[in-house]
Amino acid sequence: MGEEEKELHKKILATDAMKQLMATYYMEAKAAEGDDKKPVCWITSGAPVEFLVAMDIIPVYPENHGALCGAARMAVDLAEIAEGAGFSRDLCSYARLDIGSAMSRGGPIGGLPRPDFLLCCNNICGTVVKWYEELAVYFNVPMFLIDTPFVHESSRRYAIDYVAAQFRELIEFLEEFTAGSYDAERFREVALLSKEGIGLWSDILRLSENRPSPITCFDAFIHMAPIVTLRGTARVIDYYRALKAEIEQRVEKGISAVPEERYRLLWDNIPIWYELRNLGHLFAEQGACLVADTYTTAWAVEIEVDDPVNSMARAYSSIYLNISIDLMFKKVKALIERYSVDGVVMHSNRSCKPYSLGQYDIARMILSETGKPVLVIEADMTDSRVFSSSQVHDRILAFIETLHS
Amino acid sequence: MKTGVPGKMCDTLSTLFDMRQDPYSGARSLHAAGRSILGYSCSYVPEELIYAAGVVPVRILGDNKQRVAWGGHLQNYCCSLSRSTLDMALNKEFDFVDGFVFGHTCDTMQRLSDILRINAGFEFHADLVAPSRLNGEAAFGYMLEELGEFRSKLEARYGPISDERIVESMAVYHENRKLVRKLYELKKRSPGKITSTDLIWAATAGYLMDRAGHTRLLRALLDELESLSVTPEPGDEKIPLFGIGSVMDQWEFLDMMETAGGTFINDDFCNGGRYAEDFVPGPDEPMAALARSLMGRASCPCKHGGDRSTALIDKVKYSGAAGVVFFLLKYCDPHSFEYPHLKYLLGELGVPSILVEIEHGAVSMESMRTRIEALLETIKGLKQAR
Ligand code: SF4
Ligand code: SF4
Repeated sequence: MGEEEKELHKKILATDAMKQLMATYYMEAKAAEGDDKKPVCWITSGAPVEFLVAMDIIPVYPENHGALCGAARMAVDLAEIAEGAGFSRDLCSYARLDIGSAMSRGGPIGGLPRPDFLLCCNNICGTVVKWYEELAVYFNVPMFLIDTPFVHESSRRYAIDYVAAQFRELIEFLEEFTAGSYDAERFREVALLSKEGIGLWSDILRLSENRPSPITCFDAFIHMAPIVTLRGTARVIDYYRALKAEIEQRVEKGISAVPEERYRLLWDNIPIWYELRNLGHLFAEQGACLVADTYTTAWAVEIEVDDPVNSMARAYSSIYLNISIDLMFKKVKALIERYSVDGVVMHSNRSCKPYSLGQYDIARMILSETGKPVLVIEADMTDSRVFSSSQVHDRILAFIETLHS
Repeated sequence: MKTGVPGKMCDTLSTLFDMRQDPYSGARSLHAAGRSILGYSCSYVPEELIYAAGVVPVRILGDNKQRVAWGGHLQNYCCSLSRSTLDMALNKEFDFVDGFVFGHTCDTMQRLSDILRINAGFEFHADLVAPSRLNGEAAFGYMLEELGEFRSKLEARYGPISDERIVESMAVYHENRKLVRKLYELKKRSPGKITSTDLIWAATAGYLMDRAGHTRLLRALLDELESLSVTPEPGDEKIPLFGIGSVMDQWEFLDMMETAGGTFINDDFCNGGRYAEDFVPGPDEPMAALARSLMGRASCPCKHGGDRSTALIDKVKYSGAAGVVFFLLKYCDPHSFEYPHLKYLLGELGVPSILVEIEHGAVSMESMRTRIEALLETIKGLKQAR
């Protein structure tokens, strides 16, 4: 295989379509700013967007925007604006850079469209509650919080009831806010689309079970944007159908995501957005394929169309960041087995406490219960000021060397 | 002028103030005397329910020892309260407790609960996942159920808890908070009678001993202070300040501030002024009353639904403080997030403020002194300009 051909095989052709999809999404969202008919809602990544889609509200994800700014290496400048306004450098960098972007309209897309209201769900962290409270003050708009009680042992029935009750309150809130009415049939349709989109996304991720793996988690990080931002719409389904077909073809042809797959690894935590490309190359050069991760699978929630409100209450309450360390370990172990990985790379992400605190213990559990080695690297998902590239690269190389034995 | 608890301090009161040298000494002696003790994390753990089970709830505070054992389990970017708590547990310094109870507050505490349980836990470990929303009947209903779960868990270990016991226990705690409030009122009336170190310690000590016993000590303290006549000499008055933060357990810092000429006239520390702000609900079933009381109290920044910033700014206004000290633990997200807006609101009011960030075990008194002095100078300057 010539060099050029190799490159070609590595590049996923659907990437352009994805970029187009996201560009259109952001363009439409920005065009809706100030348009009374199309309210804009800023929403957290783990929140039940289906309700918004069913009521023709445009959801905008500050976290996805954060990733975008991080990948464009514009995060630090934006974060510094918020820091100048008194926000501590120790706070989540998505929050800092998004606040900085709101204050300056800076960043790769010139800032997000102004929200008409905010929808926050604390199933990913408590940080978003504080972050959104500050946004509510800054923009002087209402904020709706969906509180999903943390699961230490198992989801309690009354906790699910509590979440479902808040969903119903949310419906009332949305009806009042939009002066429109909620249509249960339309909601079911959206839930169905959401379920289908999530299903396709899970299928795509599962294709990495193949040896060699047709994609790496770096690909998944890039292609997850639509399932996060456009979940519940038909265009997501078209897009993921095409992506799935392409990846399936790669599997058939035996195309490997990395030139020679010698090691299969699992990634834990949010990507290091500004370093994605470099890390991708580093691992690929060593024949190490990050075949799966704990992050992109977080959107693989299950929805039952017969009972969308209750099943969604359950699904949204038990996502990866809302469960105890023991339960997280169970999920990690299942991924290790399913994807036949040889080792785990954990990004200790100083921005994200719910994701990172506990990693050292999970690492020990992995080692003792599966025998797989774990590497922990210290970084931040978008704040490159705390990242030491040479140190991290050296540690990765040393780790891969130990896999030889 | 004399400050602190002057004059004829009786033995019981010296016990109270001596305990500051060794905060868990009281709990250890209770344990030695056969009492059961449960350690617990933040506000939102229902002390009343634990107490009703015949158990003494003891709140875990940080300490200033240089500690390292936490490093194998926690990253350095979490607050030093969580780090020192874990470290003490790993060092088996909590040998006087039967177990721990965590109430749901911030992301760090939530993970700490698991980490502590896995590595240094006891047979009894409970997570009471209080709602993050304090408003709405759905949240209340959930809180009630969660309290019921916790009650069963306590009962499984300590035997049945009768409703009467819960009512009695709540009465003990309401009474206690009322006395802490009285102490704060006295501080406002006659700031020279008690230093902020002693005031906040007197409130905190309740976390570390039998609550009814603490109430008796508070009564004695109040009597003693009421009978005292202290007239500060001209120029000797301290500048009234207001403290905002999570746990205030830096006694040396408070002493330093007093020496520099400032005193906390009131505060929002969860072991001080915030705790004193009780919520006594109307007549209700005991468990419902408990739930309402927990949800109705002055809110912690980890909770959503009350208008915390307005309430807090009002409290500063009413206190008559001339300046505010944000005393925050580094890496504490909930408090750090609200800082810029609170600072802005204080600015609108014309109240100057400073931010002091600390880590247990690495406190630099010198740099804090400089900051406090700068604040006091600013306040004096403002006064002259008026
Ligand atoms: S703290 Fe973590 S989960 Fe929360 S917004 Fe930041 S990155 Fe996301
Ligand atoms: S000080 Fe802050 S971060 Fe630490 S436990 Fe308290 S609320 Fe959480």
